[in-house]
Amino acid sequence: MDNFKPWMILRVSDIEVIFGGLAALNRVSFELKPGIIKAIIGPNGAGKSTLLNVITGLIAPDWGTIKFKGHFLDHVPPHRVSQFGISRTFQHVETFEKMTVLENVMIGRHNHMFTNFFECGIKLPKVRREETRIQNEALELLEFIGLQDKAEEEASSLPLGDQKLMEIARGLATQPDLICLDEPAAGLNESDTFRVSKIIEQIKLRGIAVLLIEHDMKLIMDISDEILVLNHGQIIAEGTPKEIQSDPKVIEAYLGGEIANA
Amino acid sequence: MFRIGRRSRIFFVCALLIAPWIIQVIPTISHYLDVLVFAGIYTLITIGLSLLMGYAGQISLGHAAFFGIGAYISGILTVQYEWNPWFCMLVGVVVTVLVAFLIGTPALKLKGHYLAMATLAFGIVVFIFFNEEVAVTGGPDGMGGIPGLSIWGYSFDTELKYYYLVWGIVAAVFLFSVNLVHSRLGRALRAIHTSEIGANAMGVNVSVYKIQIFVYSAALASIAGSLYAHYINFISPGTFDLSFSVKLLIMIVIGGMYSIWGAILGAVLISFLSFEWLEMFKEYEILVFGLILLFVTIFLPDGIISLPKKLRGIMGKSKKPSGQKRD
Repeated sequence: MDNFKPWMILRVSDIEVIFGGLAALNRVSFELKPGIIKAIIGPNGAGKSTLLNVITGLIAPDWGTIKFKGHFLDHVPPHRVSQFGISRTFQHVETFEKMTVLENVMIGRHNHMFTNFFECGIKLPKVRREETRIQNEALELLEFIGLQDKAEEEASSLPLGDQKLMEIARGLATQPDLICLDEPAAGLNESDTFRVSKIIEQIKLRGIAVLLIEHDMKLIMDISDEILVLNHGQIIAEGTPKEIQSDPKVIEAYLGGEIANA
Repeated sequence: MFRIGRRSRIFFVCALLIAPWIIQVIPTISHYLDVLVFAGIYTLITIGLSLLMGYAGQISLGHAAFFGIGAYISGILTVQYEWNPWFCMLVGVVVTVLVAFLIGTPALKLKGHYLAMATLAFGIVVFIFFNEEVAVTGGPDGMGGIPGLSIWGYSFDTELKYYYLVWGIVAAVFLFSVNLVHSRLGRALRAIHTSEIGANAMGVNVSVYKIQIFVYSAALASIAGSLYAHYINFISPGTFDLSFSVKLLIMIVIGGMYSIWGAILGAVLISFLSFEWLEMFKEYEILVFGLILLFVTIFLPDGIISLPKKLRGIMGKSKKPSGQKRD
Protein backbone atom coordinates (compact mmCIF):
# COMPACT_ATOMS: atom_id res chain seq x y z
CA MET A 1 0.00 0.00 0.00
CA ASP A 2 2.62 2.46 1.04
CA ASN A 3 4.77 2.86 -2.02
CA PHE A 4 6.58 5.94 -0.78
CA LYS A 5 9.33 6.70 -3.18
CA PRO A 6 12.37 7.74 -1.21
CA TRP A 7 13.26 10.54 -3.56
CA MET A 8 9.94 12.26 -3.01
CA ILE A 9 10.10 14.87 -0.29
CA LEU A 10 6.34 15.23 0.10
CA ARG A 11 3.56 12.86 -0.58
CA VAL A 12 -0.05 13.92 -0.21
CA SER A 13 -2.50 11.01 -0.39
CA ASP A 14 -6.27 11.09 -0.66
CA ILE A 15 -6.73 14.32 1.24
CA GLU A 16 -10.32 15.22 1.90
CA VAL A 17 -11.49 18.35 3.69
CA ILE A 18 -15.18 18.95 4.17
CA PHE A 19 -16.54 22.37 5.10
CA GLY A 20 -20.21 22.28 6.10
CA GLY A 21 -21.04 19.26 3.97
CA LEU A 22 -19.14 20.62 1.00
CA ALA A 23 -15.92 18.97 -0.07
CA ALA A 24 -13.29 21.69 -0.27
CA LEU A 25 -10.73 19.07 -1.18
CA ASN A 26 -11.76 15.78 -2.72
CA ARG A 27 -9.28 12.90 -2.79
CA VAL A 28 -6.29 15.06 -3.59
CA SER A 29 -3.04 13.14 -4.08
CA PHE A 30 0.26 14.29 -5.45
CA GLU A 31 3.98 14.02 -4.88
CA LEU A 32 6.76 16.52 -4.80
CA LYS A 33 10.39 15.98 -5.69
CA PRO A 34 12.94 17.83 -3.59
CA GLY A 35 14.28 21.09 -4.96
CA ILE A 36 11.71 21.78 -7.62
CA ILE A 37 9.06 24.42 -8.07
CA LYS A 38 5.57 23.06 -8.26
CA ALA A 39 2.74 25.47 -8.92
CA ILE A 40 -0.84 24.90 -7.85
CA ILE A 41 -3.29 26.75 -10.02
CA GLY A 42 -7.03 26.84 -10.38
CA PRO A 43 -9.94 29.24 -10.26
CA ASN A 44 -10.93 31.02 -7.04
CA GLY A 45 -12.44 28.62 -4.55
CA ALA A 46 -10.76 25.60 -6.11
CA GLY A 47 -9.20 24.69 -2.76
CA LYS A 48 -5.63 25.83 -3.33
CA SER A 49 -5.21 27.70 -0.07
CA THR A 50 -7.03 24.95 1.80
CA LEU A 51 -4.51 22.48 0.44
CA LEU A 52 -1.61 24.60 1.72
CA ASN A 53 -3.33 24.97 5.08
CA VAL A 54 -3.66 21.20 5.32
CA ILE A 55 -0.01 20.66 4.44
CA THR A 56 1.17 23.25 6.99
CA GLY A 57 -1.08 21.90 9.71
CA LEU A 58 -3.54 24.78 10.05
CA ILE A 59 -6.40 22.55 8.98
CA ALA A 60 -6.65 18.90 9.94
CA PRO A 61 -7.83 16.82 6.98
CA ASP A 62 -11.01 14.74 7.37
CA TRP A 63 -9.37 11.96 5.43
CA GLY A 64 -6.01 11.14 3.94
CA THR A 65 -2.37 11.39 4.91
CA ILE A 66 0.55 13.70 4.37
CA LYS A 67 4.02 12.28 4.47
CA PHE A 68 7.02 14.59 4.55
CA LYS A 69 10.57 13.25 4.65
CA GLY A 70 9.19 10.01 6.05
CA HIS A 71 7.05 11.60 8.80
CA PHE A 72 3.29 11.59 8.80
CA LEU A 73 2.22 15.21 9.19
CA ASP A 74 -1.56 15.07 9.21
CA HIS A 75 -2.87 16.14 12.63
CA VAL A 76 0.50 17.59 13.63
CA PRO A 77 0.12 21.16 15.00
CA PRO A 78 1.52 23.91 12.76
CA HIS A 79 4.49 24.84 14.93
CA ARG A 80 5.66 21.21 14.79
CA VAL A 81 5.17 21.12 11.02
CA SER A 82 7.52 24.08 10.83
CA GLN A 83 10.09 22.19 12.87
CA PHE A 84 9.89 19.28 10.43
CA GLY A 85 11.01 21.65 7.69
CA ILE A 86 7.93 23.10 6.01
CA SER A 87 7.61 26.85 5.97
CA ARG A 88 5.10 29.18 4.38
CA THR A 89 3.93 32.66 3.54
CA PHE A 90 0.37 33.90 3.59
CA GLN A 91 -2.01 35.14 0.96
CA HIS A 92 -2.90 38.07 3.20
CA VAL A 93 0.40 39.01 4.78
CA GLU A 94 0.69 38.10 8.45
CA THR A 95 3.22 40.79 9.33
CA PHE A 96 4.01 41.09 13.01
CA GLU A 97 3.13 44.66 13.86
CA LYS A 98 5.14 46.97 16.12
CA MET A 99 8.22 44.98 15.19
CA THR A 100 11.01 45.85 12.81
CA VAL A 101 11.61 43.99 9.57
CA LEU A 102 14.68 42.40 11.13
CA GLU A 103 12.73 41.23 14.18
CA ASN A 104 10.06 39.77 11.93
CA VAL A 105 12.67 37.67 10.16
CA MET A 106 14.30 36.75 13.47
CA ILE A 107 11.01 35.17 14.56
CA GLY A 108 11.60 32.67 11.79
CA ARG A 109 14.81 31.59 13.56
CA HIS A 110 12.94 31.05 16.82
CA ASN A 111 13.53 27.32 16.82
CA HIS A 112 17.20 27.73 16.09
CA MET A 113 17.61 29.38 19.48
CA PHE A 114 17.81 27.32 22.59
CA THR A 115 17.90 29.62 25.60
CA ASN A 116 15.05 29.17 28.06
CA PHE A 117 12.90 31.50 30.15
CA PHE A 118 15.33 31.95 33.06
CA GLU A 119 18.42 32.21 30.92
CA CYS A 120 16.72 34.98 28.97
CA GLY A 121 15.59 36.72 32.16
CA ILE A 122 19.02 36.91 33.73
CA LYS A 123 20.64 37.49 30.35
CA LEU A 124 23.44 34.97 30.45
CA PRO A 125 26.30 35.73 28.07
CA LYS A 126 25.15 32.93 25.82
CA VAL A 127 21.81 34.70 25.34
CA ARG A 128 23.61 37.70 23.93
CA ARG A 129 25.84 35.51 21.75
CA GLU A 130 22.84 33.67 20.40
CA GLU A 131 21.00 36.93 19.76
CA THR A 132 23.92 38.29 17.72
CA ARG A 133 24.18 35.07 15.76
CA ILE A 134 20.47 35.06 14.88
CA GLN A 135 20.59 38.74 14.04
CA ASN A 136 23.39 38.15 11.54
CA GLU A 137 21.61 35.21 9.99
CA ALA A 138 18.44 37.25 9.64
CA LEU A 139 20.42 40.09 8.07
CA GLU A 140 21.91 37.68 5.57
CA LEU A 141 18.44 36.60 4.54
CA LEU A 142 17.32 40.21 4.21
CA GLU A 143 20.30 40.80 1.98
CA PHE A 144 19.32 37.80 -0.11
CA ILE A 145 15.84 39.21 -0.49
CA GLY A 146 17.09 42.75 -1.03
CA LEU A 147 15.60 44.40 2.03
CA GLN A 148 18.77 44.95 4.05
CA ASP A 149 18.34 48.73 3.96
CA LYS A 150 14.94 48.48 5.58
CA ALA A 151 15.97 46.13 8.39
CA GLU A 152 15.29 48.66 11.13
CA GLU A 153 12.02 50.00 9.75
CA GLU A 154 8.73 49.04 11.26
CA ALA A 155 7.51 46.10 9.23
CA SER A 156 3.86 47.07 8.97
CA SER A 157 4.81 50.44 7.48
CA LEU A 158 6.45 48.84 4.44
CA PRO A 159 4.65 48.74 1.10
CA LEU A 160 2.82 45.50 0.41
CA GLY A 161 5.43 44.24 -2.03
CA ASP A 162 8.20 44.57 0.54
CA GLN A 163 6.06 42.93 3.22
CA LYS A 164 5.51 39.97 0.91
CA LEU A 165 9.25 39.71 0.30
CA MET A 166 9.87 39.99 4.02
CA GLU A 167 7.48 37.09 4.58
CA ILE A 168 9.54 35.00 2.19
CA ALA A 169 12.71 35.88 4.12
CA ARG A 170 10.94 35.02 7.35
CA GLY A 171 9.79 31.72 5.90
CA LEU A 172 13.32 30.90 4.75
CA ALA A 173 14.65 31.74 8.20
CA THR A 174 13.12 28.54 9.58
CA GLN A 175 15.54 26.69 7.28
CA PRO A 176 12.91 24.66 5.48
CA ASP A 177 13.20 21.91 2.90
CA LEU A 178 9.88 23.00 1.49
CA ILE A 179 8.40 26.46 1.40
CA CYS A 180 4.78 27.09 0.49
CA LEU A 181 4.17 30.47 -1.10
CA ASP A 182 0.54 31.53 -1.14
CA GLU A 183 0.13 34.11 -3.91
CA PRO A 184 3.47 35.86 -3.39
CA ALA A 185 2.84 38.18 -6.33
CA ALA A 186 -0.80 39.09 -5.66
CA GLY A 187 -1.27 42.84 -5.61
CA LEU A 188 2.26 43.54 -6.77
CA ASN A 189 3.29 45.67 -9.71
CA GLU A 190 5.31 44.32 -12.59
CA SER A 191 8.77 45.09 -11.27
CA ASP A 192 7.98 43.64 -7.84
CA THR A 193 6.57 40.55 -9.49
CA PHE A 194 9.79 40.19 -11.42
CA ARG A 195 11.76 40.48 -8.18
CA VAL A 196 9.61 37.77 -6.63
CA SER A 197 10.10 35.42 -9.56
CA LYS A 198 13.89 35.86 -9.43
CA ILE A 199 13.86 35.16 -5.72
CA ILE A 200 11.78 32.01 -6.13
CA GLU A 201 14.26 30.74 -8.71
CA GLN A 202 17.10 31.40 -6.28
CA ILE A 203 15.27 29.57 -3.52
CA LYS A 204 15.16 26.58 -5.82
CA LEU A 205 18.90 26.91 -6.41
CA ARG A 206 19.38 26.62 -2.66
CA GLY A 207 17.83 23.16 -2.90
CA ILE A 208 14.54 24.11 -1.30
CA ALA A 209 11.35 22.77 -2.85
CA VAL A 210 8.66 25.36 -3.54
CA LEU A 211 4.91 24.89 -3.60
CA LEU A 212 3.56 27.96 -5.30
CA ILE A 213 0.02 29.25 -5.53
CA GLU A 214 -0.30 32.08 -8.00
CA HIS A 215 -2.72 33.66 -10.42
CA ASP A 216 -0.06 35.33 -12.52
CA MET A 217 0.16 32.87 -15.41
CA LYS A 218 3.27 34.37 -16.93
CA LEU A 219 5.14 33.98 -13.65
CA ILE A 220 3.95 30.39 -13.31
CA MET A 221 4.80 29.33 -16.82
CA ASP A 222 8.21 30.99 -16.57
CA ILE A 223 9.50 29.45 -13.39
CA SER A 224 7.63 26.30 -12.42
CA ASP A 225 8.85 22.81 -13.17
CA GLU A 226 5.51 21.17 -12.58
CA ILE A 227 1.97 22.40 -12.40
CA LEU A 228 -1.02 20.97 -10.59
CA VAL A 229 -4.47 22.17 -11.60
CA LEU A 230 -7.25 22.12 -9.06
CA ASN A 231 -10.91 22.68 -9.78
CA HIS A 232 -13.74 22.25 -7.31
CA GLY A 233 -11.39 20.55 -4.88
CA GLN A 234 -10.19 17.96 -7.36
CA ILE A 235 -7.02 17.60 -9.37
CA ILE A 236 -7.92 17.85 -13.01
CA ALA A 237 -4.45 17.90 -14.48
CA GLU A 238 -0.81 17.58 -13.53
CA GLY A 239 2.30 18.01 -15.63
CA THR A 240 4.93 20.32 -17.02
CA PRO A 241 3.93 23.87 -18.05
CA LYS A 242 3.91 22.76 -21.68
CA GLU A 243 1.61 19.84 -21.02
CA ILE A 244 -0.74 21.99 -18.95
CA GLN A 245 -0.91 24.70 -21.59
CA SER A 246 -2.09 22.22 -24.17
CA ASP A 247 -4.37 20.19 -21.90
CA PRO A 248 -7.90 20.62 -23.23
CA LYS A 249 -9.42 19.88 -19.83
CA VAL A 250 -7.54 22.76 -18.26
CA ILE A 251 -8.37 25.15 -21.03
CA GLU A 252 -12.01 24.23 -20.82
CA ALA A 253 -12.22 24.26 -17.04
CA TYR A 254 -10.75 27.59 -16.40
CA LEU A 255 -8.20 29.44 -18.32
CA GLY A 256 -9.47 29.68 -21.80
CA GLY A 257 -7.26 31.86 -23.91
CA GLU A 258 -5.21 33.15 -21.03
CA ILE A 259 -3.04 30.09 -20.58
CA ALA A 260 -2.42 29.62 -24.26
CA ASN A 261 -1.25 33.19 -24.62
CA ALA A 262 1.20 33.07 -21.76
CA MET B 1 8.56 49.06 21.30
CA PHE B 2 10.41 51.54 23.37
CA ARG B 3 14.08 50.82 23.78
CA ILE B 4 15.18 51.47 27.30
CA GLY B 5 18.31 53.54 27.46
CA ARG B 6 21.05 53.19 30.01
CA ARG B 7 20.71 56.85 30.94
CA SER B 8 17.05 56.61 31.89
CA ARG B 9 17.82 53.51 33.96
CA ILE B 10 20.50 55.30 35.96
CA PHE B 11 18.22 58.29 36.41
CA PHE B 12 15.44 55.98 37.60
CA VAL B 13 17.66 54.28 40.17
CA CYS B 14 18.93 57.62 41.50
CA ALA B 15 15.40 58.96 41.74
CA LEU B 16 14.36 55.84 43.66
CA LEU B 17 17.24 56.18 46.11
CA ILE B 18 16.81 59.89 46.72
CA ALA B 19 13.01 60.18 46.68
CA PRO B 20 12.38 59.13 50.32
CA TRP B 21 14.91 61.66 51.67
CA ILE B 22 13.29 64.51 49.81
CA ILE B 23 9.85 63.34 50.86
CA GLN B 24 10.82 63.11 54.51
CA VAL B 25 12.25 66.61 54.59
CA ILE B 26 9.00 68.21 53.44
CA PRO B 27 6.46 67.71 56.25
CA THR B 28 3.32 68.17 54.13
CA ILE B 29 4.17 65.22 51.92
CA SER B 30 6.03 63.03 54.40
CA HIS B 31 3.26 60.43 54.24
CA TYR B 32 3.96 60.00 50.51
CA LEU B 33 6.51 57.38 51.46
CA ASP B 34 3.64 55.13 52.50
CA VAL B 35 1.96 55.69 49.13
CA LEU B 36 5.21 54.87 47.35
CA VAL B 37 5.43 51.52 49.17
CA PHE B 38 1.98 50.63 47.86
CA ALA B 39 2.94 51.93 44.44
CA GLY B 40 5.94 49.59 44.47
CA ILE B 41 3.74 46.65 45.39
CA TYR B 42 1.33 47.48 42.57
CA THR B 43 4.22 47.98 40.17
CA LEU B 44 5.22 44.36 40.68
CA ILE B 45 1.81 43.32 39.39
CA THR B 46 1.62 45.80 36.55
CA ILE B 47 5.03 44.80 35.19
CA GLY B 48 3.72 41.26 34.81
CA LEU B 49 0.46 42.50 33.34
CA SER B 50 2.34 44.65 30.87
CA LEU B 51 4.13 41.56 29.57
CA LEU B 52 0.89 39.62 29.47
CA MET B 53 -1.36 42.28 27.95
CA GLY B 54 0.91 44.77 26.23
CA TYR B 55 3.33 42.28 24.77
CA ALA B 56 1.45 39.00 24.41
CA GLY B 57 -1.96 40.65 23.97
CA GLN B 58 -3.82 38.48 26.49
CA ILE B 59 -6.38 40.15 28.74
CA SER B 60 -6.65 39.12 32.38
CA LEU B 61 -9.26 40.30 34.83
CA GLY B 62 -8.16 37.82 37.46
CA HIS B 63 -4.91 39.20 38.78
CA ALA B 64 -6.49 40.50 41.98
CA ALA B 65 -7.05 36.82 42.78
CA PHE B 66 -3.38 35.93 42.37
CA PHE B 67 -2.50 38.97 44.48
CA GLY B 68 -4.97 37.67 47.08
CA ILE B 69 -3.68 34.11 47.00
CA GLY B 70 -0.17 35.37 47.76
CA ALA B 71 -1.43 37.60 50.56
CA TYR B 72 -3.63 34.95 52.17
CA ILE B 73 -1.06 32.18 52.00
CA SER B 74 1.47 34.46 53.67
CA GLY B 75 -1.15 35.53 56.21
CA ILE B 76 -2.48 32.09 57.06
CA LEU B 77 0.86 30.31 57.24
CA THR B 78 2.56 32.98 59.34
CA VAL B 79 -0.36 33.62 61.71
CA GLN B 80 -1.77 30.13 62.20
CA TYR B 81 1.34 28.01 61.66
CA GLU B 82 4.04 30.57 62.46
CA TRP B 83 6.17 29.61 59.50
CA ASN B 84 9.04 31.76 58.30
CA PRO B 85 7.53 34.65 56.24
CA TRP B 86 10.06 34.30 53.42
CA PHE B 87 9.31 30.62 53.14
CA CYS B 88 5.58 31.42 53.10
CA MET B 89 6.19 33.87 50.29
CA LEU B 90 7.84 31.06 48.36
CA VAL B 91 4.96 28.69 49.13
CA GLY B 92 2.60 31.41 47.89
CA VAL B 93 4.49 31.68 44.62
CA VAL B 94 4.53 27.90 44.13
CA VAL B 95 0.79 27.61 44.80
CA THR B 96 0.02 30.56 42.53
CA VAL B 97 2.15 29.08 39.77
CA LEU B 98 0.21 25.83 40.01
CA VAL B 99 -3.17 27.58 40.08
CA ALA B 100 -2.20 29.87 37.20
CA PHE B 101 -1.05 26.88 35.20
CA LEU B 102 -4.30 25.02 35.79
CA ILE B 103 -6.45 28.07 35.02
CA GLY B 104 -4.29 29.30 32.16
CA THR B 105 -4.04 26.07 30.21
CA PRO B 106 -7.71 25.99 29.20
CA ALA B 107 -8.37 29.73 29.49
CA LEU B 108 -5.58 30.86 27.17
CA LYS B 109 -7.13 28.82 24.39
CA LEU B 110 -9.90 31.43 24.50
CA LYS B 111 -9.49 34.71 22.73
CA GLY B 112 -10.29 38.33 23.47
CA HIS B 113 -13.46 38.81 25.47
CA TYR B 114 -13.76 35.14 26.32
CA LEU B 115 -10.38 35.08 28.00
CA ALA B 116 -11.35 38.22 29.93
CA MET B 117 -14.58 36.52 31.01
CA ALA B 118 -12.83 33.32 32.08
CA THR B 119 -10.27 35.15 34.21
CA LEU B 120 -13.03 37.38 35.59
CA ALA B 121 -14.96 34.31 36.69
CA PHE B 122 -11.83 32.89 38.29
CA GLY B 123 -11.33 36.14 40.20
CA ILE B 124 -14.88 36.02 41.52
CA VAL B 125 -14.55 32.39 42.62
CA VAL B 126 -11.39 33.17 44.58
CA PHE B 127 -13.02 36.25 46.10
CA ILE B 128 -15.97 34.16 47.29
CA PHE B 129 -13.55 31.63 48.74
CA PHE B 130 -11.82 34.36 50.79
CA ASN B 131 -15.21 35.52 52.05
CA GLU B 132 -16.84 32.21 52.87
CA GLU B 133 -14.07 30.03 54.24
CA VAL B 134 -14.24 31.80 57.58
CA ALA B 135 -12.29 29.11 59.44
CA VAL B 136 -9.29 29.48 57.14
CA THR B 137 -9.34 33.06 55.93
CA GLY B 138 -11.25 34.81 58.69
CA GLY B 139 -14.02 35.59 56.23
CA PRO B 140 -15.25 39.15 55.65
CA ASP B 141 -13.77 40.31 58.95
CA GLY B 142 -10.33 39.72 57.58
CA MET B 143 -7.23 38.46 59.24
CA GLY B 144 -4.91 40.45 61.47
CA GLY B 145 -1.66 40.05 63.31
CA ILE B 146 0.43 39.19 60.27
CA PRO B 147 4.06 39.73 61.28
CA GLY B 148 6.42 42.09 59.50
CA LEU B 149 9.40 40.95 57.48
CA SER B 150 12.91 40.59 58.76
CA ILE B 151 16.06 39.01 57.48
CA TRP B 152 18.89 37.71 59.71
CA GLY B 153 17.62 39.75 62.59
CA TYR B 154 17.35 42.92 60.50
CA SER B 155 13.73 43.90 60.57
CA PHE B 156 11.99 45.96 57.90
CA ASP B 157 9.95 47.75 60.50
CA THR B 158 9.89 51.32 59.22
CA GLU B 159 8.32 52.70 56.10
CA LEU B 160 11.72 53.71 54.81
CA LYS B 161 13.18 50.22 55.18
CA TYR B 162 10.13 48.64 53.60
CA TYR B 163 10.30 51.17 50.79
CA TYR B 164 13.81 50.05 49.91
CA LEU B 165 12.87 46.41 50.22
CA VAL B 166 9.86 46.69 47.91
CA TRP B 167 11.55 48.88 45.32
CA GLY B 168 14.66 46.70 45.44
CA ILE B 169 12.50 43.75 44.46
CA VAL B 170 10.80 45.90 41.80
CA ALA B 171 14.20 46.80 40.37
CA ALA B 172 15.21 43.13 40.15
CA VAL B 173 11.90 42.15 38.57
CA PHE B 174 12.17 45.09 36.20
CA LEU B 175 15.61 44.00 34.98
CA PHE B 176 14.51 40.40 34.59
CA SER B 177 11.42 41.45 32.64
CA VAL B 178 13.28 43.86 30.38
CA ASN B 179 15.74 41.10 29.57
CA LEU B 180 12.85 38.80 28.76
CA VAL B 181 11.28 41.37 26.48
CA HIS B 182 14.49 41.77 24.51
CA SER B 183 15.05 38.07 24.09
CA ARG B 184 13.61 35.42 21.79
CA LEU B 185 10.80 35.06 24.28
CA GLY B 186 9.73 38.70 24.12
CA ARG B 187 9.92 38.58 20.37
CA ALA B 188 7.71 35.51 20.28
CA LEU B 189 5.19 37.19 22.59
CA ARG B 190 5.00 40.28 20.40
CA ALA B 191 4.54 38.08 17.35
CA ILE B 192 1.70 36.24 19.07
CA HIS B 193 0.08 39.59 19.80
CA THR B 194 -0.58 40.43 16.16
CA SER B 195 -0.74 37.05 14.48
CA GLU B 196 -1.01 33.73 16.24
CA ILE B 197 -1.26 31.97 12.88
CA GLY B 198 1.89 33.66 11.64
CA ALA B 199 3.78 32.86 14.84
CA ASN B 200 2.61 29.27 14.66
CA ALA B 201 3.74 28.89 11.09
CA MET B 202 7.19 30.15 12.09
CA GLY B 203 7.43 27.34 14.61
CA VAL B 204 6.50 29.30 17.74
CA ASN B 205 4.55 27.12 20.13
CA VAL B 206 1.96 29.76 20.90
CA SER B 207 0.22 28.13 23.85
CA VAL B 208 3.46 27.38 25.70
CA TYR B 209 4.55 31.01 25.59
CA LYS B 210 1.13 32.32 26.52
CA ILE B 211 1.05 30.04 29.56
CA GLN B 212 4.63 30.86 30.54
CA ILE B 213 3.96 34.58 30.62
CA PHE B 214 0.59 34.15 32.33
CA VAL B 215 2.22 32.08 35.06
CA TYR B 216 5.07 34.57 35.38
CA SER B 217 2.70 37.50 35.79
CA ALA B 218 0.67 35.53 38.34
CA ALA B 219 3.81 34.72 40.32
CA LEU B 220 4.70 38.42 40.43
CA ALA B 221 1.20 39.22 41.67
CA SER B 222 1.63 36.61 44.38
CA ILE B 223 4.93 38.11 45.58
CA ALA B 224 3.21 41.50 45.63
CA GLY B 225 0.41 39.98 47.71
CA SER B 226 2.84 38.61 50.29
CA LEU B 227 4.67 41.95 50.51
CA TYR B 228 1.32 43.67 50.94
CA ALA B 229 0.22 41.34 53.74
CA HIS B 230 3.47 41.76 55.67
CA TYR B 231 3.36 45.52 55.23
CA ILE B 232 -0.11 46.36 56.49
CA ASN B 233 -0.34 43.29 58.75
CA PHE B 234 -4.04 42.93 58.12
CA ILE B 235 -5.90 41.59 55.08
CA SER B 236 -9.56 41.31 54.20
CA PRO B 237 -11.29 40.04 51.05
CA GLY B 238 -12.39 43.51 49.94
CA THR B 239 -8.86 44.32 48.78
CA PHE B 240 -8.86 41.46 46.29
CA ASP B 241 -12.18 41.95 44.53
CA LEU B 242 -12.94 42.59 40.89
CA SER B 243 -12.56 46.34 41.22
CA PHE B 244 -8.89 45.85 42.07
CA SER B 245 -8.38 43.79 38.91
CA VAL B 246 -9.99 46.62 36.99
CA LYS B 247 -7.81 49.16 38.74
CA LEU B 248 -4.74 47.20 37.64
CA LEU B 249 -5.96 47.40 34.07
CA ILE B 250 -6.50 51.14 34.43
CA MET B 251 -2.92 51.45 35.70
CA ILE B 252 -1.34 49.82 32.69
CA VAL B 253 -3.65 51.43 30.16
CA ILE B 254 -3.00 54.89 31.57
CA GLY B 255 0.72 54.33 31.99
CA GLY B 256 1.11 52.63 28.64
CA MET B 257 0.92 48.88 28.32
CA TYR B 258 3.36 48.49 25.47
CA SER B 259 6.22 49.42 27.72
CA ILE B 260 7.41 48.28 31.12
CA TRP B 261 8.17 51.90 31.98
CA GLY B 262 4.51 52.59 31.31
CA ALA B 263 3.54 49.91 33.81
CA ILE B 264 5.66 51.57 36.49
CA LEU B 265 4.40 55.05 35.67
CA GLY B 266 0.79 53.87 35.69
CA ALA B 267 1.09 52.10 39.03
CA VAL B 268 2.74 55.08 40.72
CA LEU B 269 0.35 57.59 39.19
CA ILE B 270 -2.82 55.70 40.04
CA SER B 271 -1.56 55.03 43.57
CA PHE B 272 -1.12 58.73 44.18
CA LEU B 273 -4.42 59.55 42.51
CA SER B 274 -6.43 57.06 44.53
CA PHE B 275 -4.66 57.51 47.88
CA GLU B 276 -4.06 61.24 47.76
CA TRP B 277 -5.02 63.52 44.96
CA LEU B 278 -8.55 62.32 44.36
CA GLU B 279 -9.49 62.03 48.03
CA MET B 280 -11.62 65.16 47.81
CA PHE B 281 -13.92 63.60 45.22
CA LYS B 282 -14.93 60.88 47.71
CA GLU B 283 -17.40 58.49 46.07
CA TYR B 284 -17.14 60.37 42.78
CA GLU B 285 -13.53 59.26 42.53
CA ILE B 286 -14.45 56.50 40.10
CA LEU B 287 -15.98 59.12 37.78
CA VAL B 288 -12.71 61.03 37.68
CA PHE B 289 -10.87 57.81 36.93
CA GLY B 290 -13.31 57.21 34.11
CA LEU B 291 -12.62 60.64 32.68
CA ILE B 292 -8.85 60.16 32.87
CA LEU B 293 -9.15 56.78 31.22
CA LEU B 294 -11.33 58.23 28.49
CA PHE B 295 -8.90 61.05 27.88
CA VAL B 296 -5.88 58.77 27.73
CA THR B 297 -7.43 56.15 25.46
CA ILE B 298 -8.62 58.81 23.02
CA PHE B 299 -5.58 61.07 22.91
CA LEU B 300 -2.76 58.80 24.05
CA PRO B 301 -3.67 55.24 23.13
CA ASP B 302 -0.13 54.14 23.98
CA GLY B 303 -0.42 55.65 27.46
CA ILE B 304 1.14 58.63 29.18
CA ILE B 305 4.60 57.16 28.67
CA SER B 306 4.21 57.92 24.96
CA LEU B 307 3.54 61.62 25.63
CA PRO B 308 7.13 62.87 24.99
CA LYS B 309 7.33 60.90 21.76
CA LYS B 310 3.96 62.22 20.69
CA LEU B 311 4.92 65.81 21.51
CA ARG B 312 8.10 65.42 19.51
CA GLY B 313 5.99 64.08 16.67
CA ILE B 314 3.69 67.10 16.77
CA MET B 315 6.64 69.52 16.91
CA GLY B 316 8.34 67.72 14.05
CA LYS B 317 5.21 67.80 11.93
CA SER B 318 4.64 71.53 12.39
CA LYS B 319 8.11 72.20 11.05
CA LYS B 320 7.29 70.51 7.76
CA PRO B 321 6.17 72.80 4.98
CA SER B 322 2.40 73.07 4.87
CA GLY B 323 0.40 71.97 1.87
CA GLN B 324 2.15 68.64 1.78
CA LYS B 325 -0.01 65.77 0.69
CA ARG B 326 -1.00 63.59 3.59
CA ASP B 327 -1.57 59.92 3.23
